[in-house]
Formats: sequence, structure tokens, C-alpha cells
Amino acid sequence: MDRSVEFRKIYDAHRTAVHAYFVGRTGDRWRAADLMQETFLRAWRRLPELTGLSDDGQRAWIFTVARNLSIDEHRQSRTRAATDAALRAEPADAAAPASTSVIAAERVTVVADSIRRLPEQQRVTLTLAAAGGLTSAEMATALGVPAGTVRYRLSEARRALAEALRTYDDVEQP
Amino acid sequence: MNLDDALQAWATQEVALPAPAADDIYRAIVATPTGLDARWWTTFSAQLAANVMTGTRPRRPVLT
Repeated sequence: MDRSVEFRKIYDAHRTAVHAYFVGRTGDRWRAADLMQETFLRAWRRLPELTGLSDDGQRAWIFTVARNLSIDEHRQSRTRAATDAALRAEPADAAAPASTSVIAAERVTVVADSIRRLPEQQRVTLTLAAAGGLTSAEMATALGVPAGTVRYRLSEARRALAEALRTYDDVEQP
Repeated sequence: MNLDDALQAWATQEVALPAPAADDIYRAIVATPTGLDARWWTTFSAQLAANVMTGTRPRRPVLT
């Protein structure tokens, strides 16, 4: 099979999850795109190693690169505290389409703000689940942690978001 | 709108990478030569510098 066609299959299978992972880490969709490009550039250069692997093996390989890049990113460009501060300070970009009700749009904003305030591990896990489309087992492979840890982080994150929505409902709709 | 709906809307609005951007990234990657990484020397020279520093650091005199 043509090398670029082989790579396209791998890219299409994993790019959404890898991008979601980096959004969870950086809070910036376009910075995440840059890091995703760097991850897949390494995959492209070492394609023969990847093509012989199972889907799970490819995921583990790609996310090992992604996690290392993420660590480098933290070391080189910003401190973790600065990242978190930026995430919390960034205004919500949750402009809703005209057909969506105002209340629904506000609930999305509440969720977005709450996600920014989550501890990083919970934020990354939740982003992978919500936007990356991965199962708990797949996230465990991607993050290099047990599936139980993934489920716990997800549960804690969802609990925090549900609480934020309840508070919003209490204030807005007494 | 329940939590799952709100999460789905958030993922679509704030996380998802538009398909044209993803396609651009794919094209940029496959246009890259697959030979030696052009930045190989940055790792090499950093490691070399570290080795030289370690290997040539004067030994601290033993105080008696």
C-alpha cells in the first residue's frame, strides 16, 4: 500500500483523540493542532514501526509521543501554573447558533467554565471522553493509567460539572 | 439540555478541529521528507555539550 495512504488511515483513526488530548492539556485548540501535527510528523517518519501494530498498539505508540511532547511543551514554554491561570482567565468561546436557546447556550458556557477549573488530569480525561471519542479502556491505553483510574477521574469531573449546572439552575430558575 | 448534551455542544464548539484544518495538517506532514530529521543536530549537540561539561568539570578538592 502507498505510504501516504497507509499513514492517512492511522491519522484519521487517531487524530481526533490526539487533538482532544492536547486541548485538555493546553486549553488552546490551535496550540493543540500544532502539537498534534508534531506528534503525527514523528509517526510519519517512523511509519514502518506503526504499520505492524494493532490499533491499540498504535494508540499506545502515538500517545507516548504525545505525552512526551506535552511534557516538553510545559518545560519549554510555560509553567503549569501559568497554563492553569490562562485556562481560567480565558473567556468562554461558546457562541451558540441562533437556533439554540439562550438557556442552553448559557449551560454550555457554565460547563466550559467548569471544565477550565478542573484539575488537569480530570480535564484531560474528560476532554478525551467528550471530544476524543475514546472508551475508558482506550483512554487507559492512551494515558498509560489503569482503566479504573480513568473511570474515577471521569466520575469526579462529571460530578463537578453536574454540581456547577445545579448551582446555575438554582440561581437562574428558582 | 442535560450534562451530556452540554458536553457534546462544548466539544463541538470549543474542541473539535475543523476538517479543512485537519486536512491541511495531513498534507503538510506527508510533504515532509522521511529521511533524517533536519533537527537531529540540536539533540546531538545538546547531548554533546552536556557530556563535555560533565567530563571536563574540575574535581572539587578534598578538604582535610
